[in-house]
Amino acid sequence: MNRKPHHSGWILTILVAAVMWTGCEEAVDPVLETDEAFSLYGFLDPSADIQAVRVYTIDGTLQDRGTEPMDAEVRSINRRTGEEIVWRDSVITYYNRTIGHVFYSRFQAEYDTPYTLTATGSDGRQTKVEIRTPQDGEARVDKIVSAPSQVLIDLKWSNVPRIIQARVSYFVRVPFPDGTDTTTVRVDIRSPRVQENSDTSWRVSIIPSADIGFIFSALQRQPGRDPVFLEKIEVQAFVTSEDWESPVGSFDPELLVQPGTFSNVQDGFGFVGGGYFDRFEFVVDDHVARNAGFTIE
Amino acid sequence: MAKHESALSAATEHVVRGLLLLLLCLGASGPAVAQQAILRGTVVAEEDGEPLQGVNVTLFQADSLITGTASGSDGIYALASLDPGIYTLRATFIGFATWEQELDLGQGDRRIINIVLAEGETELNEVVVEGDSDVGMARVLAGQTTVRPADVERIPSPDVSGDLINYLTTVPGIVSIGDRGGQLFIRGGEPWQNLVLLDGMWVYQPFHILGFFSSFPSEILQQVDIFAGGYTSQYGGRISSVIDVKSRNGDKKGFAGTASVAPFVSGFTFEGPIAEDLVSFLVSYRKSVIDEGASRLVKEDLPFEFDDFFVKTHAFINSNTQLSLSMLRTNDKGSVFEGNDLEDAEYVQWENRAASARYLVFPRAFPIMAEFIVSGSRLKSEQSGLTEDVRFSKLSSANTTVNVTHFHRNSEVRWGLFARTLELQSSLDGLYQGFFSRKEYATEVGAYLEPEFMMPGGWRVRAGLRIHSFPSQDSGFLEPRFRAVKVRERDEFTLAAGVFHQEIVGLTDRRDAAGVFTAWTTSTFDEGVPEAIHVIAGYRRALSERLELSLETYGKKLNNLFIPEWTAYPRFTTQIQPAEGRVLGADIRMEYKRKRFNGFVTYGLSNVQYTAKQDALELWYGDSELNFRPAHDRRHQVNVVASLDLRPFDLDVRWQFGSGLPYSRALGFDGFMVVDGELDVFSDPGNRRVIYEEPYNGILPTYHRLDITIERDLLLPGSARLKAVAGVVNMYDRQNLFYLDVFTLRRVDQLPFIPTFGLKLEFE
Repeated sequence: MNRKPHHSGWILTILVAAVMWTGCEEAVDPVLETDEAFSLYGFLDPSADIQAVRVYTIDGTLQDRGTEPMDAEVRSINRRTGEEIVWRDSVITYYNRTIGHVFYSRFQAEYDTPYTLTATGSDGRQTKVEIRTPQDGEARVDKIVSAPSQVLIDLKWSNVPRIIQARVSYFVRVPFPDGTDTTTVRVDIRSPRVQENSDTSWRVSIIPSADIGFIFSALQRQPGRDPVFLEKIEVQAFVTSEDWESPVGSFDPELLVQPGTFSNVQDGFGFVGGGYFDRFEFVVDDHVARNAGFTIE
Repeated sequence: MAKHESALSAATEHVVRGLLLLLLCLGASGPAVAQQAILRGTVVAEEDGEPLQGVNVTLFQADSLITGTASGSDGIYALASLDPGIYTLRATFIGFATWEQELDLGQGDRRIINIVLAEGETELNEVVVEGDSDVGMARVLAGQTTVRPADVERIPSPDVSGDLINYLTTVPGIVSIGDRGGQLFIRGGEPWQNLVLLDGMWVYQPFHILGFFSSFPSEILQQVDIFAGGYTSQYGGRISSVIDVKSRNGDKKGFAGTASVAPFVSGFTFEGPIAEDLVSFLVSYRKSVIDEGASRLVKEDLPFEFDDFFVKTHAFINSNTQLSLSMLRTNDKGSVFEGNDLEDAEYVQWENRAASARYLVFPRAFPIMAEFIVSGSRLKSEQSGLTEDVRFSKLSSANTTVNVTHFHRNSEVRWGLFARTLELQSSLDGLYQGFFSRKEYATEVGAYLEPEFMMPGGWRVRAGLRIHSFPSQDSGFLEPRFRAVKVRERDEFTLAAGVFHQEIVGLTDRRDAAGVFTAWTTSTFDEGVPEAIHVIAGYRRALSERLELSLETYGKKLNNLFIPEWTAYPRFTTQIQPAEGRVLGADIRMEYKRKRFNGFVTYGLSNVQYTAKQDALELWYGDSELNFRPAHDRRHQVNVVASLDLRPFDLDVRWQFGSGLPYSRALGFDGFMVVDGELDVFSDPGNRRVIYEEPYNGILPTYHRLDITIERDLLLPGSARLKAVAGVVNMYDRQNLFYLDVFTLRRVDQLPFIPTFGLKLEFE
């Protein structure tokens, strides 16, 4: 039988050493802990009689916590009056079968008032957000430019810190298909132009002559053939507190999703602002309505 | 950028014309040196007629060395610009008896002398002709590693036979993400940046889904050249690396074959002469048997299936021409990502089909050798979840290549022409830059010129220029290349550099390095075509007769890359963003060889840095660019391989170690809602969100594993042999992480301790 060469000795030594190295599983900790406790989303609405915020706990895994109660107490403080309100938790199952916690309270927030909203866990960790509700604004029609097929209407909101979006509703009357009667229909259009004036007021511009195409399309009517009468226009501007400003100028979720990118929450994430939809209705004369493309009786 | 490329395309046109003119001049240079004689031929082994590469072919006159060379791939050698006279032509190669023949060369003789080497004792103290084509013990040369089947065989694997991929993962600088997926990252490059050729065929996804196996079992290999960077002008279209596989021709003397059974794969090879000494064939087939074998051994579902089939026929048409026809077919199917609460399991499958015809000729009238390759390749790949639509990608190409070598006394000039047409089709369900469905055609034409010459100081230099253009994309590229070798008695210095572009790119979700599905498309990004600049410096020294050391340092600059955009949404589909990168690294290899023992240790040090340029970076991090380590940046990698002849057993041992790969660690998870006037918290479900700190801020655990096989050959009646192999994969049952689901904290480990065994019947 052949004698084993002496190399086998050190090979065996290596093998044994390797086998002895039994750090067989190295722990991996993919989630660092954070001091932030909760993420809060929502706004205080002085025009509503119920206030609500969505509350997320900051967890160590992505798995849903199910319907178990959230270990949090949400409380609002009116810093002007000192009134403290403890909000109630509600567990909501959404259409996509996810479950969320919405804390709410039945009270009407005051205009132009500072509030503090806190979410506190039983371990004492607290997330806080300072909110100021906006003033009650005043709106008026500022300017109407009217020419055939070209109608521009500027509305001016005074005494408001910021308007971040607006929508316009056209209330139009259309005949039934058999022509026996008419009915009034509301057509909503989003994204009129919003601009800050130099005198701290805000301007919302609508262009009925451009919107008319969408209105006919939404009603499945044909311009020039089917009559569509304009009854009134309602513009709803979303008036907000001064700090409710997206850092990118729009509310693009792909950009804002990065934590901390758009947040006013201390020791947590998210954004809670103060805001409300301020509605302003007006009627235009027949000349303007005709120029915009509506039917005149 | 488009304008720039258009201008470049016009410039390329001018250079192509100039190059073609030069090539014509080179063609005409044949008659100019017609007064001097030239010797050419093929060196083959007597036993089976296989070509031998690296054979020292020397020419002596009255015991004085006149000139010499080493046979190249296909066993071809050439000695040019010879004066008339009486010579001794000598061929020597380790393991073969020295071959000699007396020659009387006349003025302008054009001799073709084919050499047949018989196995036997090699005489020592032979003159060794070294050069770029030389193969030595470590065989590392400015990014190039030359591998032969015996090298592959000694790496332990779960199969009875060796497989090229197991050798590749011992090469420092080649990072494998684990034992599934079959993805290789070579010196900081990504898998889609690697060019893999088999007998001139492009094989687009050659590594099987189970990381121990590729389309290249050792039985079909003749030689493999791995260029981890700085490759010569002959190669292009990829910016990271080239793996050029040459298959065996098959035995031209008699029939031989193997049949093997093992827990992972079973298969057979069969080869033999169609016309003795002239025409041969080789067939290989392997199929995974994991369900019936390995899965039962580990009592765990291993959802992998694959097979590969290779057939080749080779003919010496006459003394100066060869023709070979090759065909490869592979199929892979399995699950790499096993799903979580948010995402379904990811099933992938792909199939390669490739065929080539290769014609080799050294005309009697000219001191040249010409190679003509016509090949076609196709890759079809699919990715699907349980409920999602299938995403698929198909890449088909037809390739025509002409490579010509002009031989001169102490130099040679290589040039070539190539043309490719490609059809690229993908349906991506909106994944990757919003592509849904796409079908494209592209054409590539080009040429290269690469003279090799001696410089003062003993440097043998190969300086090349490659020009290629995609008329359909209105883009063209000039790529200077450079390689230099200086050989001294015991040491060798090498340098390499080059510029590389890749017009056809692979899109993949590479956030955790485990993405397998790759969709191919033309580079249509505004930032331009991916580009790499490589610089390599190497040193090799024989420390003693038994010990050799090689050291290489390298750097790469990567431009116009694209990487997945970051998002805090916990999803796997993604948009892509532009990026740049740089790679710095060093490879060390030490090899020790004795009669009954050989082994090597390799260490790879690598530092890969990407610079992301996503538009939102300034908003998120306050800087418009962000440097980070990509998911494949393995800083340290060690391989120890030892083979010991414990007669009658052979023991092969391999231990590998890799430092942890980067990954994006989370601070926690919450939810996200867009807070605008439309928000209604009672009806809007919001989205879950990952709170990341910065991308790739964490490091996964280290990886290490010991594999051992022991084998014994048993002689059976007749000329058959039975090879029995037993071994273990992951001997100390290290729980190496393959995939970490950051969202659910679930980890998927690589293969546990697995005993393997197998039998291989060899007959001839």
